[in-house]
Amino acid sequence: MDIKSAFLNGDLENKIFMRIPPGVETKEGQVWLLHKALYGLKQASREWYLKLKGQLEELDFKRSDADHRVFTKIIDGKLFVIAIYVDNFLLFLSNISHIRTVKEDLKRHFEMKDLGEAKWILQMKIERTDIDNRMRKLTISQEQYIKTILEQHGMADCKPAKTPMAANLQLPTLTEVKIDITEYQRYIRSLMYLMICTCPDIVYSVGVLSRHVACPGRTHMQAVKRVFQYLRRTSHYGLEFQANNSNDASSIVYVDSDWGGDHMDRKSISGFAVLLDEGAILWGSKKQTLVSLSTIEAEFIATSTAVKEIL
Amino acid sequence: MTLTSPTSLLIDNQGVLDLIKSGQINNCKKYIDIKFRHVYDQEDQGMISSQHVAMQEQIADIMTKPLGAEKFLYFREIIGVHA
Repeated sequence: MDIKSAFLNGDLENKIFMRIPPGVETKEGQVWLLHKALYGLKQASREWYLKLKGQLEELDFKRSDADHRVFTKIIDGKLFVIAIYVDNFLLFLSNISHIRTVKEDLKRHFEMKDLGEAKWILQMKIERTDIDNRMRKLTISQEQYIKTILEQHGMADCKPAKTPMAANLQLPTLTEVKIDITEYQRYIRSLMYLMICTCPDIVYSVGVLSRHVACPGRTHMQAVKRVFQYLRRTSHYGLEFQANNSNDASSIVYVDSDWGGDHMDRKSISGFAVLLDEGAILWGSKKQTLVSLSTIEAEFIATSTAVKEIL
Repeated sequence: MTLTSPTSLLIDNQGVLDLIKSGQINNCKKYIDIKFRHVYDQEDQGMISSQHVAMQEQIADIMTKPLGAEKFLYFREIIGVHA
C-alpha cells in the first residue's frame, strides 16, 4: 500500500509561516500560516510519523518496542503486522479477508493506493512460488540493484568469480593512501546495502574490506573488484524462505570465530547466522576488540555477541 | 507462528560447550567472566540451548574467514542463498 502525498497529512505542532509563492496576488508584507505540513519542512517527516502512529493506535495497533516502524495487532488470535517505510506499507496476515478490513480502515483516514501483493520494496524483489499445495517459498533478491552497481562501476562485463574473496587472503594494513580513496569508498558503499539486505554470502568480505576504507591500497582495490566479479556471477541469486504449515517455528544460531585470523594484529573475528526454518534472518561478522589468548576465549566472545543479538 | 523451543545455539568448540553447560569457570579475566555469566544465565533460563556442531557443518564459518570454493558454495546453499 502506498499513501498519496503522505507528508501533507501531518498536523503541525509549531506555528510556521511561509512566504507567499509567486503568482498569487496579495498585499505586500503578507505571509501564510500553515495548517498542515508541507514537503521540505524540517519537521514534516516527524509530524507524518506521529499522525500515522496516532491513527494506527486508534485502530488498536501496538507499536513494536524493538522497531518503531513495525505495528502489530492480534485479530482472532492471529498476528497482524504492518511494516512501514515512510509512506509505504507492508501488511502481513494469514487471512486475506482481515487484510481487506484493515485496508478499508486505513483508507478512511488516508488517501491510499493499494498496490496489491508486494513485489518490490526498497529495491528488493519479492517472489512467491508454490512448490506444491503444502510447500510455499518466498525469495527476496536484488538482481536489478546489482546490475545497476555493476554498470556504475564499469564492471558489467567483468569476468565472473566463484567466491567473493580468495581463500586465505591477507590484506595489509597501510599507513599511507596508495589509490583513489573516494573511488574505493564508493565501491564499498554500494556493497553495504546488499550485504544488509539479501547477501549474507558477502558479509565477511565486505566487513574486511570496509576496515580499510581510510587507507586502501592496490591489493584492497583488487579484492573489492573480486566481490563485484562474484556478484556478476550470482546477481540472480536470492534469499529463500520456505513456509511450513505448522504454527511452530524453530530458530537455530550458528556461532564461530577464527582464532587470531588477522596476521597483522592477531585479533579474531566473530561470526554468526540466525536461521528461522532454514532461511537466514539475521547475520553478522564482527572483528573482536581485543586479542584472545585461546580459542575458547575467542569463541566465547563470539557466542556472547550472538546471544546479545538474538535476545 | 510462535517460537516454542529455546533457540538452538550451535558451537563447534567442545570446551566452550562444556563450560556453558556446567557453569564452572575459574581464574579468568573479568571481561570473559561477565560474557560467560551472561551466556550461562540465558542457558539456565531456557532462552537458548547450546549444542555441538561439527566443524564441517559450522556455517558461521562463512562469516569469519575467506573460504575455498567448495566449502563456500556448500554453506551458501544451507544459509538459503539460491539461484
